[in-house]
Amino acid sequence: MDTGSQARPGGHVVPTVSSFNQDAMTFSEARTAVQPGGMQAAYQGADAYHEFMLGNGLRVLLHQDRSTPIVTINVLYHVGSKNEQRGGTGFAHLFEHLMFDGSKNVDRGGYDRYCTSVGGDNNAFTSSDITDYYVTLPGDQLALGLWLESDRMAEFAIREVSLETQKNVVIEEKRQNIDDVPYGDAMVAMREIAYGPQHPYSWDTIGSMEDIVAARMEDVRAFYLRYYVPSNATLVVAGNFDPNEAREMVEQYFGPIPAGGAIDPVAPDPALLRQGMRRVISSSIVPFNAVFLGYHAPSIYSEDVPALELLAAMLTDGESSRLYQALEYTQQIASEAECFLDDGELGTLVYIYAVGQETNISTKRLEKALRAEVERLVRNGVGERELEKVKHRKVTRIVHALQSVSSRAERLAYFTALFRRPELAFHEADLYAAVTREDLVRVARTYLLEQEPNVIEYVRSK
Amino acid sequence: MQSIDRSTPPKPGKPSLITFPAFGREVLKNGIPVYIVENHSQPYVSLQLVARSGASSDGQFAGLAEFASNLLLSGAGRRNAQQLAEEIDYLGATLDASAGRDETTVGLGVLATFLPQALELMADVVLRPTFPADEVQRERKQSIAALKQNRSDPAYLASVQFRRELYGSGPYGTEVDGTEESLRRITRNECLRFHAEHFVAGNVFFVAAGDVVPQEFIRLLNHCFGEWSGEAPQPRAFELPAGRESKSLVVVDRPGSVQSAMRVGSIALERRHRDYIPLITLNTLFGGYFNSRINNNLRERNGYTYGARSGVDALKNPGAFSIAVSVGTAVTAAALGEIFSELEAITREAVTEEELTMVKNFIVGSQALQTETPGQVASFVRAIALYGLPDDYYRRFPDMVRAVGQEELLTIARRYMNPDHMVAVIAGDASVISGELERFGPVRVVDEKGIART
Repeated sequence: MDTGSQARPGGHVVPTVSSFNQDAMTFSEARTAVQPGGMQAAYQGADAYHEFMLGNGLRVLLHQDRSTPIVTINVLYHVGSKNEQRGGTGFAHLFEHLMFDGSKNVDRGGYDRYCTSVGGDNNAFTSSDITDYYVTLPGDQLALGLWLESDRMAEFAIREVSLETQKNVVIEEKRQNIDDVPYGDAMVAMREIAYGPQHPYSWDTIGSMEDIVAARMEDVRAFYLRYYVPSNATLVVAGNFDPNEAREMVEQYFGPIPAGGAIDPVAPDPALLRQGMRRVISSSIVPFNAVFLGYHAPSIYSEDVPALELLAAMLTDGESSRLYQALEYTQQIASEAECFLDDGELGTLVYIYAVGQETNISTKRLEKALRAEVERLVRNGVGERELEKVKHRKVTRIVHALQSVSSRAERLAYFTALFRRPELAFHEADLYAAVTREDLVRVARTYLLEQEPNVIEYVRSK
Repeated sequence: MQSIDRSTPPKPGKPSLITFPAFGREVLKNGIPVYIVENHSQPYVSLQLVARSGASSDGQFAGLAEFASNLLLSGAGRRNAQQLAEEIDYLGATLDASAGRDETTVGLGVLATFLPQALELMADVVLRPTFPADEVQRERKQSIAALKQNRSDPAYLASVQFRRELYGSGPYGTEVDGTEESLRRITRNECLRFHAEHFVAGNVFFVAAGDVVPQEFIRLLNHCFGEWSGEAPQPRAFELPAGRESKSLVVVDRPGSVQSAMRVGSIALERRHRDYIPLITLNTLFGGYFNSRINNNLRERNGYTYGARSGVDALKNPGAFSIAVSVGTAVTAAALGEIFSELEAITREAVTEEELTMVKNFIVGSQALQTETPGQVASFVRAIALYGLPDDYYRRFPDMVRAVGQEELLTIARRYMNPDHMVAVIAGDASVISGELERFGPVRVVDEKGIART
């Protein structure tokens, strides 16, 4: 899940609590005679990509799909809010906004003008680990897209007026998506209590408004020179194009850009992970009391992540999921009860949360009910059919997403930049096939039951 | 390596032939139309059943269409709510039902391999819902809780009041999800009646997209839905509310709000109106895309907002043209002033050829982007079926957009975007913003329920 912020509204989902709302859910022992045989998980034409690296270290993937009239270019810079420092938070995301505000040969506002004047679409998002930009265009406009993307990688050209304007836009973005939304600051608060202040995951990608206001042009330039370099980027071109032509164009536009220096890995002290912290937020804008539990789990590179993903699905995905059935349907104490992973390179927070169904439901009651579901899962285990169910749901979601060439491009960029395994973009479903019932119980015990969660309570103050 | 001149934008390559994808039309043995967008790139099928009745048929029970359709999944055929949910989830499928203004949709998304089993469940849900009494109670409780959640969002409050101001007590005047008061009055009987009256063979059509082979698929649908009968209900009368002679300003008070959510607009036109294409062209230029006048002004020039947009809600009957934006409390009046001056500008002077060309290119080009997946194509086909547009409508759409002229748009602007006939609803902290807003005219302050504050 991307937990970051994006340059402009629309496009990618910005996860606020309300957007975690899944379609509703239910559970029973009823059986049907479904045979899942013949299920095809992988993208058809699976290894349809070509990978190479330019002399300056830029990783490039070309994924041709002749069935679509469009082409999409995805550029992933391996930089996010984890590369910021205390006192300079929110920078990676502010920078993402600035990247749309002009480059050496594209004037301020030009990026959007060129893009939209041919019917294109573009956006970007920033997470703790990455900043990802995409532009989708009619197929004949590949050169335009490569020109726009390479120009903003080639040279620093951000102006003072852009910096001042985008500071204000980011402040409004925070007001609109975080401050003025019930429970909108849950993840901000959770990071603050679950990590020591020197841990780079202790601040949200949106950052502190004081830091945003204080950002100076020299900081912006230094950030760019360090992180916005070919050797720290992955370029994916996907859609309808001629691969030879595309490769030649990529080399012409991106080849001459200087490589950039090495970037030190961020390696925070494990002692900065906290357990059992609690914060009570008294709020006049929340309609009901709510509680958020945050458990530490290993990073995206851990072998336990697929089991954790399925565990989250079992708790949350569909009306038959456990949290819906227990808290919303049977006990009728919650209007929302879900689990999701905020996963990253430095670790993962497993969120389990519930929002009350009526004003008199206390946070204590909600917390107790959530924790009881974790206990029940570990104590009573998981049925074979329930495991099959969550695997079916996972595969269906993956297949559904693969219909879109821009989402294929995004997955290719992600798995290449972080895992060096582009094939996972088409075979992601395989990651889940091997997960067993025992794995689910083990990860639930290890990371949830045997740890004391960090807790955010929202208490209505009206 | 040949070096490249970066100083000017590259020329486009060979234009790819962009046409709206073909779709088929079949008929079940009982006459139900089935539109099919066949695409085998992924083993996935999406299917919508659309009933041509929505919230505008709620009558005195606001929220009924949505409430009854939510309950379709709470017990059907021989399965109770929990059994249904478990079986749907086991197939990895999504099955949901929701109401729009003029229609109610039951949507299925499933891997092709599980389609037959999923269709059996869908048929139960559509044809044989049981509306158990305890589920009606549960749904009521959940719906009321959801309404309370919605009401904590200033943008929702602004939209509700905006609709109230435009349509009063007419069919488009209430929210699809109803009010707490109306939800308390809905009983199992209303749900049964809504289902019996509107979920009939003569009132529905299907749109399928993805990995289906038409002949085989129609056989499956006939098996599940072929015996369905019933004639379409009488269409509801729609009386257009009288237009406004002057601007009106309404503040929905939300003490302590850090932002003001605004809706500014007026009733425009229905989907089949001949002004539709010029109006959406003009709307795009004005507020329909990132590079629009309103966004450039409020976000890029002034930094008042994260994003500003406008839209045309063209339905079976006339929907609204409206501008939507959330701004910081301190700049509320300044932002509204900019909105009015943009409206004045667009009704005073014809748009430039350059601006219009860019917008036309955007609309035509973005059609390719919006028809990438079979499910996206299906949503256009659904509009053709729902509003009775010609089958070749979206094939001709690019030419119709290209034919729009500058003078024509000035006429359109004066017809639909005159700020003097608009209502501006602002959800925000009345004690801070009302005074300053008075420079645009008298300000009425109401509470969340639309009742005047004195």
